[in-house]
Amino acid sequence: MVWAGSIYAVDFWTILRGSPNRESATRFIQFATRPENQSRFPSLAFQGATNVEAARQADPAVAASLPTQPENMSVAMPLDVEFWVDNIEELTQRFNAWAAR
Amino acid sequence: MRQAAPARSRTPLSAWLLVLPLFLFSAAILVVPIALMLARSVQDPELSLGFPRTVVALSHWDGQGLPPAAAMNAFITELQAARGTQELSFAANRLNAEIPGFRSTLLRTARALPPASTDDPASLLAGIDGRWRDPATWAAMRRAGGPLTDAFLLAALDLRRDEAGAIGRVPEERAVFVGVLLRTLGIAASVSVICLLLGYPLAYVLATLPAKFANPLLMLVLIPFWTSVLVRTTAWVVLLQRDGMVNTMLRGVGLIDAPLTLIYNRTGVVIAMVHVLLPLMVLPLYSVMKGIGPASMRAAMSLGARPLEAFIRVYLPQSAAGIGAGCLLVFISALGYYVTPELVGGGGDQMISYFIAFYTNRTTNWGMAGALSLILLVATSLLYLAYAGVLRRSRSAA
Repeated sequence: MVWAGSIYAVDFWTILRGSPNRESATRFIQFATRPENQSRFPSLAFQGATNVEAARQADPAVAASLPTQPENMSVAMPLDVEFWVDNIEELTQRFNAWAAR
Repeated sequence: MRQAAPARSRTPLSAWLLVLPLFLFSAAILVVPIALMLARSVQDPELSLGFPRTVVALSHWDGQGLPPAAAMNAFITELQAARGTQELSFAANRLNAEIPGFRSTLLRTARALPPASTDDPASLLAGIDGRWRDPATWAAMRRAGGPLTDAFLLAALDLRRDEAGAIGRVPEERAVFVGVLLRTLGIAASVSVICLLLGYPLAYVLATLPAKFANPLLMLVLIPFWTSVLVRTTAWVVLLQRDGMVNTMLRGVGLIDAPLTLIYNRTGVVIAMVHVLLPLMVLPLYSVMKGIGPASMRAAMSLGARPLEAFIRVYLPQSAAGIGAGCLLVFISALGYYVTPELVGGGGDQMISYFIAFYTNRTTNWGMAGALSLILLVATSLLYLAYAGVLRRSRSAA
């Protein structure tokens, strides 16, 4: 696995404004992001854990191939969402003009 | 027309009332939304919604150098007021279509603006984002002032206005839509021709076989017709992929050594679209051929025509209505295809619907989506009118 120059993206939990179950939603997010719960995730899905403590507790068998492993993370870069929102129209046009050639 | 008029006047009121629900239904879910979407192709309301005074002030600017301080101050005041509102994100999205990156320039500036006003708006703005020092930024805002614009329709034809307002072609590296429109027409035409070549003999066999053989065969045409396009297209992914069934079989019988590239290119798109659209060709042909009957062919041959001549001079003209209807159905359905090229095509095989979906869903640039839809609708209508004209001339000649 080549980690140098790899791109990682972080996903979010979102509670919409005015949500009727706001309390339960907050409690769920707290539960799901606790280290002991998040640390079980990498062995099942091979994804990193956003909780640093959880990343540290991950199964050593898979830890080396996780994007959140410090030596992997240090050579990777985050997905620049703002760049893509700004440039996706122009880059899509250019890609398709190029692909048609 | 004149003969039809008395018959129409006898249509009882109750018949019109029975049609009324359908009429209201299609008006509400089809006609009105399509009209609104097409109107988006010339409307340009986003900037004037949140920045009405800026738009007016910029329209008085001569375009030389930077706009006057009064215009900039109007902009700053309105930007402060727009902070956190929907109007700001609409305007940001719209301006980003003029200059990529304008969206974050506007949002960053809105976040960083101090609450108090200033005597030197130009350096205040330039201090937040260097883009405000560029007259092109302000020219883009003036262009996006609305309320009407031809920018989307021009862009859909790979044209644009330069800073002076003259119409010219976009740089070649961004010119994509004329090619995509021609590609869409080309794919639709080749799919129609292949469907006709494959469907005509099949419809002939179905129409001439006795019912006990023809009906089961007709079911084989109808079952795919009733199956979802998505399911059938996905099935072609399984069949055509590198180690899919088609390649495995061809290699098994020794016809090819290396696997053929049958998917994620034009070949895959045409194969899958022909399969999906074939019933639309076979069914009209079948219904026309069912009405022809064997007698005229037999009569032609008894008068001395060879089978091929009898077919070309007697059978083919009688089935022409089916050919026309089938080709038109397949061609016009093919023009709007989205799922199939998206799943089995490559970057160079996407049709115009792909871009309409892209602008509608991904970047919410509905002006572009409306303009591309309008171009497609106009092209389709012109082709339909041409077809109707040819049909009328051939009828009056016959």
